[in-house]
Amino acid sequence: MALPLEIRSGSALDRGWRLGRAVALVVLVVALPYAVETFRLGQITGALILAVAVVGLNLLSGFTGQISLGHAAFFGIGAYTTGVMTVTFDYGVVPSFVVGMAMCFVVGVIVGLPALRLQGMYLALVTLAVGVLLPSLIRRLDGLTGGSSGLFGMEFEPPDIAYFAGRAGGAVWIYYVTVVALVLSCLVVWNLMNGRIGRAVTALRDNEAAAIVMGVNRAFVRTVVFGISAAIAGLAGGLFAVNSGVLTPDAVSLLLTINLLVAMVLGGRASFWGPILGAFVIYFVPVWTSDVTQAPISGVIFGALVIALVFVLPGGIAGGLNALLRRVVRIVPQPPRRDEVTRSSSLPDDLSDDPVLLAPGRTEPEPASAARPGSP
Amino acid sequence: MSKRTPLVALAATLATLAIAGCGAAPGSTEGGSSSDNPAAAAAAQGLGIDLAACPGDVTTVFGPQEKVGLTLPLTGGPASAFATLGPGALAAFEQANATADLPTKFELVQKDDQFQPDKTLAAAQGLIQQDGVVGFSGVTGTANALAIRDLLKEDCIPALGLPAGGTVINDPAYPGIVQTTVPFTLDARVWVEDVNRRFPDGTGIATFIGNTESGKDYTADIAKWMERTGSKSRIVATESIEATDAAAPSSAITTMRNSGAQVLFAAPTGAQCVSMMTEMANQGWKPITYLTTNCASTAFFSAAGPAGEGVLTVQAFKDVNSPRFKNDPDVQAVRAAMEKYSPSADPDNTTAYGGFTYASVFLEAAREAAKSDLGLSRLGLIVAGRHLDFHPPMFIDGVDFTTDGLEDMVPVEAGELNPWSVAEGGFVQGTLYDFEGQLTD
Repeated sequence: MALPLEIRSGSALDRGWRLGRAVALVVLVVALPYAVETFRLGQITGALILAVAVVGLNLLSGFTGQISLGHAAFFGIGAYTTGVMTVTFDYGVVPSFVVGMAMCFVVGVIVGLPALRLQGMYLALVTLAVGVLLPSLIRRLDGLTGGSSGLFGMEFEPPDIAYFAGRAGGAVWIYYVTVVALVLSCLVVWNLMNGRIGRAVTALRDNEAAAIVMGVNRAFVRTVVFGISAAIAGLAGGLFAVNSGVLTPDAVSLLLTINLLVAMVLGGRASFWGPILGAFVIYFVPVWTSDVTQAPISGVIFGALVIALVFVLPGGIAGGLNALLRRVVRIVPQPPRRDEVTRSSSLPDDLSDDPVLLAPGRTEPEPASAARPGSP
Repeated sequence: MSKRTPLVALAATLATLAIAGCGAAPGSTEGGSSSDNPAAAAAAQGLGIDLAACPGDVTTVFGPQEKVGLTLPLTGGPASAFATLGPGALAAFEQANATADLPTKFELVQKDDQFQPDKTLAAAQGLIQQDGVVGFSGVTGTANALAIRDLLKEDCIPALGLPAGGTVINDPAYPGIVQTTVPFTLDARVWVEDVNRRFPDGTGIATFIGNTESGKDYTADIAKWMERTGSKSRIVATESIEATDAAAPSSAITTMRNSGAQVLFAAPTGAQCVSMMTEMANQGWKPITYLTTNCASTAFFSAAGPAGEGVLTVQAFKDVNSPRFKNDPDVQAVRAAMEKYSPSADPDNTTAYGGFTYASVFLEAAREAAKSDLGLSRLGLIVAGRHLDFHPPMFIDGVDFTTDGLEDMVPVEAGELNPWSVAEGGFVQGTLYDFEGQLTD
């Protein structure tokens, strides 16, 4: 069989291919708790939480092209809101998540306002200020946040069923909660980017003046996207709080922002799988390198690997995997129906010879009478 | 992709998760253990340990080869200060294995935690579940130790010899966690005691404390010991500094100098000790200065130059770079052990000797456990660690490592208050303060 295998978009084979991938993914998600030890599942959960934050950052920096160096702050606001609400004020975890996301959305919108006038490095500097501010603020408000000593005791009690009993069950519970949060975050970004806002975002990124002339509300789009991006990062922070059970200012320092940015670029910016792949790389590579070296050299290996990945896979890991996949399976567009071809007055004559626009197995256009019954 | 596809995928995921929710938790294991050994039951009860809640049998004597965990920063900023703990600890374990004075050979497994408590938790989970460690010889940092103490308690795993100075470490609810470094409360007690002796009628004190975990301990302990000793002195100026602040603390020094304080209690972080001393000299302010034990090293004072003259620090460990201990037989022996068993350890690095000392606490507890009725087991280690009385080779004469169950949980309760001498190029022997059995609240 010759590769790549070509599959018509929208065909039964295409639907089967997509369904197969979705089923494989679901099977993987469900099988993981059975296949790995509890501590490894905890690490996978940690990587998934990082992925949620990168999904948020990718919405802003990947799709919109606005550089944010303050996403660790949104992550921290979500984390500390959850921590303070659950530990100090004894609120439930889910309401804490919601309040944390709402706070992040509001702060994100406020921070996003300068984005209306600033771009590139100037905007990055504004967000950097937020990132620098939060750890100091946490230390100052030590009566509420625990300061440098940290805030302890956050947990998300699983439902009282046998499957989630004990430490292993608790780890599975947080894992599934994180999976659902990641799926929801991806869906939000997917729907945004495939709707009016997404088109507006792309238009603004590619040609701002033209987009505004065409009626795109720049202020609304930019601030809302900033807010949603921050809220998703805040959700990740809340998950981090209940997963680790400990919060310190260092956990939400600028280093986290850098990690998020590196994960986004390594995974593949402006892609849907990139943030998840990048988060796993950024989380697990230091773990594995420290396992094999037992010395400060692990940091060197990690750095070298990141540089190598950037050079070898300029489109990110998602881009590389897509290219690899296209060598095996290629989805080709469905040719337009005959009536669409004949109705199109702007279609150049020579395109009628293009086999891509012809029905499979035909070498010349069908007569107009062959149009499907009932089609306009 | 069809617009319905994400929704279908979400529905499929949720349905599958719901189906997965029926049944037993994956990876769940039966917990609980009990012991017919009355000595074990009594020992556990004495420390408030519920043997039935411990996974596995904690009274099982170790096999010929076991693993011991150590979490420390190998990457990130704090790695430069703490990574050398590892090679020092390795030397102690390899020496013990080579001399075969224990029935079990211990393999030291080190994990990087980047000095971040959440990563310490992940590293500790890995050490317990993947590597199967029977105990920890060190968890670096107070907040880091706090992050994993519930995990250690649930698994009944001892952590002996922690380089973590926080007072909060010594909690009766966590008997398996034993601190080794000089506790901040000892620093505060010695400072207050010395000021009371010098100024029986009281004087003005300025405090310059880092806005950190240890800083909070210092602030609370200074107030506590001033009240309990009936000190007539009073705090006249209070300044703080962020751990990340690298600039010279000029305005803070000016404020304290203008307060008229004759005494300074200072507990900044790392290199800030040097910039503080230098700035005080620049401004011509020379109060009687008590500096945190964290900065009691030749490296810091050599960097400060003449500004360090006369500054007082509490010392429990021998400073290997000080002329006083350069030819000390114990220091020479530890140096030889490091060169032989852990060539990557820097024999001139004070922290490496600290790593050796922290590991020596675990090993001493192992020796005591092996001789006891409980044998060298997890419970034996915990009980021995809580009843140790020995003199680690790197401790100054007159300073011992002593614990006595839950009654005396602070192991290091004595220290020399030594002034730095520029002419000597090291700390000069000062007054030994011994508060044995008095620091546990």
